Amino acid sequence: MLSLQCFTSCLNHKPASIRNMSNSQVQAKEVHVLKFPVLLESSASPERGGIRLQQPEREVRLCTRSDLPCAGAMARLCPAAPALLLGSLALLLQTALAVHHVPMLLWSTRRSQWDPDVAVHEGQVVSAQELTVLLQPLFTQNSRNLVLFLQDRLSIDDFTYFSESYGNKNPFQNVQEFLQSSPSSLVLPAVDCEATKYLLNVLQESGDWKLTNVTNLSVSQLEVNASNPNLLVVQLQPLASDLKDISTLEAISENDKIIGRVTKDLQQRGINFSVIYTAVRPSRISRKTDVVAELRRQLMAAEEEESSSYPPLNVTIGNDTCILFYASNFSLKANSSVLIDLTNATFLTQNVDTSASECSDSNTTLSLKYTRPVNGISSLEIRFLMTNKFYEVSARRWSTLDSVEIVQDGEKLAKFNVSGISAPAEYSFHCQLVGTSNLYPARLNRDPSNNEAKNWDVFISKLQIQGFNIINNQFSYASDCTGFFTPGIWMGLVTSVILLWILTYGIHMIMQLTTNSRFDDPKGPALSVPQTE
Amino acid sequence: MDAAPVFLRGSLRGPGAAIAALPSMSPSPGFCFTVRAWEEDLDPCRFLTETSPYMWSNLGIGLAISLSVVGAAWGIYITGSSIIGGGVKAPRIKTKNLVSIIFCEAVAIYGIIMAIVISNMAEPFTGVTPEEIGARNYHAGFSMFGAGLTVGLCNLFCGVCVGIVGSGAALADAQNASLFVKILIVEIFGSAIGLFGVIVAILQTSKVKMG
Repeated sequence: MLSLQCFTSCLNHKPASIRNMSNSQVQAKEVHVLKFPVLLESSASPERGGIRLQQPEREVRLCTRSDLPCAGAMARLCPAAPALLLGSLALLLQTALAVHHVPMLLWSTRRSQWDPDVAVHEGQVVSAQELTVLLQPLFTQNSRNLVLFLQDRLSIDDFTYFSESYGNKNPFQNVQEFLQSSPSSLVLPAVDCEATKYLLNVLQESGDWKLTNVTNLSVSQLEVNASNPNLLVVQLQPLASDLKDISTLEAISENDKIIGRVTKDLQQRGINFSVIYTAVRPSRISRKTDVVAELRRQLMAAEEEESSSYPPLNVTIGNDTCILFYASNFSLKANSSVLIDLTNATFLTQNVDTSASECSDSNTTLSLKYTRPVNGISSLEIRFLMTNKFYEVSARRWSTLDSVEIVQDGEKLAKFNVSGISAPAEYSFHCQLVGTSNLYPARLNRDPSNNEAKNWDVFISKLQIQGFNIINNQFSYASDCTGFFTPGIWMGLVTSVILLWILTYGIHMIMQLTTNSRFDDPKGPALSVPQTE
Repeated sequence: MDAAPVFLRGSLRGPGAAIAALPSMSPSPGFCFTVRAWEEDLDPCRFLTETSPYMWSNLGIGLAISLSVVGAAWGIYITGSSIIGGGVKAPRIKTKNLVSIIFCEAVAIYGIIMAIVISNMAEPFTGVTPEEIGARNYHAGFSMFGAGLTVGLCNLFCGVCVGIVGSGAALADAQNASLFVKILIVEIFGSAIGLFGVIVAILQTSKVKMG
């Protein structure tokens, strides 16, 4: 929607007018769109010493692609584009990866704006809630004026990098001076990109701020009515997208000068204001290195995607949760042709009837009833029968999933015996693949006497189920169907060890070979070999 | 019931009997007595039941031939170097002492015969879980491994023994031609121990039925 607006206004070259993201026309005031020269290159950013910068291709694309956040491109390529400033900023922020963080520098002409004991811990990324709490003083005091300097990309490392690398010339001179000389200042080295986006949304929606976009030209002519809350947003020059440090340095110096000019001008007018200097996205993204020494093996190749994580299915009888059931993929195949995917119905939309489930201390049945899961089947019930028994030799209770029954249309019963799904009664059971296929570690075996079972194939992946001893509505420790040493690992180890042992023995024998030097006498006569016997 | 090793439970009941016939009497559901925390993955029962019988049988076949050949080679090296060394001064010993080499070589022949015999018993079987594989296949796999190890190690030491004795025979023969025949008797005794290994290995694999 926003990109469409970008697109149309870009084409039409209409003069700018501020629009909110959520509704149109708040102020029809003319705004001078900032027009800082662009210092970006079109080449892709190369790697540098392991630090990977973000791809710049996005910025150079035209507005024609509706899926791209064209706001950034907008400011560069559509000179007379409408200043959808906050909306575009919000959209820009949306493109920033949620896990990344940017620094935020705040200073104010008022004393003790922020609690000096605010402890921002090393490595802590300030979230939206924490940011709101920190910035609460700005929003609640009288005659509040806020200046927001928004850089397109900035990281906390840039401050040290650029100020140290280039000798005497400190590109962050003004910023540093203000931070030191202001009555109150705060530096947040890592604020979540989502939090900055949230902040902008809050600023936009709170309504009583008078939003003004500022260019360097008009700073002195700016009418700041101190009786109303004012929000001045200055979008700073974008940094070079490639790694030419000199041009980046110049851009930063320019921005610093702009910040200095605006701030000093406001100071001269005697207004009480606060400044936030932050960025939309980080300029340096360090690769996440998880050097975690874990006892449990992890599949390196299969990265877990948090694409859709949903809570497990909770069956409550009475007041307590009785059964917990989770699977990332739960599907059946009828007659080897019709695939019925029940994952959404069971977990996402919870369109399943579990009222026929029964719970007791020794027997639990999880009953899942679906109506019209697919054309041709009017009702489908799947039952998981679990038992909890005491085994004398191991002297503990084990819970086992004994059988899975599928009832179609209330009359045809298909029964599967389950072997190998068991866990101590206090634990939950987890297995990566459960089903009727021969290859799965935990298998559902068709009962030979049951004809209906031949028609069904079951596939459950990432199954986690617990039918007894549920505490706090959560899964207990999961006893997994695959252990630390898989059969393949064992076999490889045994064979390798034996062969290596043989090799070592052989090498040892060969190293023992020596020539006889007992009768060697270099000074004595040489051995004479008679020609005839 | 409790005294029986867990992984042989099936063989006590006979093949085909369901493990779950008396569930309260079994140590745990599932085949092995394990909790599946990571420390207990070093469970010997799981190790022995989850490693495939194919691995064990093929290791046995490999060890049968390879260890026998090591023994033969070692023996031939020892004897051969002595014959060659002694033959420099007494060339008449060369032909007679080849008998020692032949005794060493016999050890390698035992090894290859046993390897072929054992490998003929390896048949494909179906089954993934311990219950499906069944006791007979486990027995076959372990027996073939044991037989191969038996014949291999026996032949290894037999070969070394024959080699050292043969070396002594060659050097004694070089000194005094009448000594050779007497030392040959010692060599024959040494060679018999390789044969013992073959006999025992055949006995071990006599009841093997895989697949």
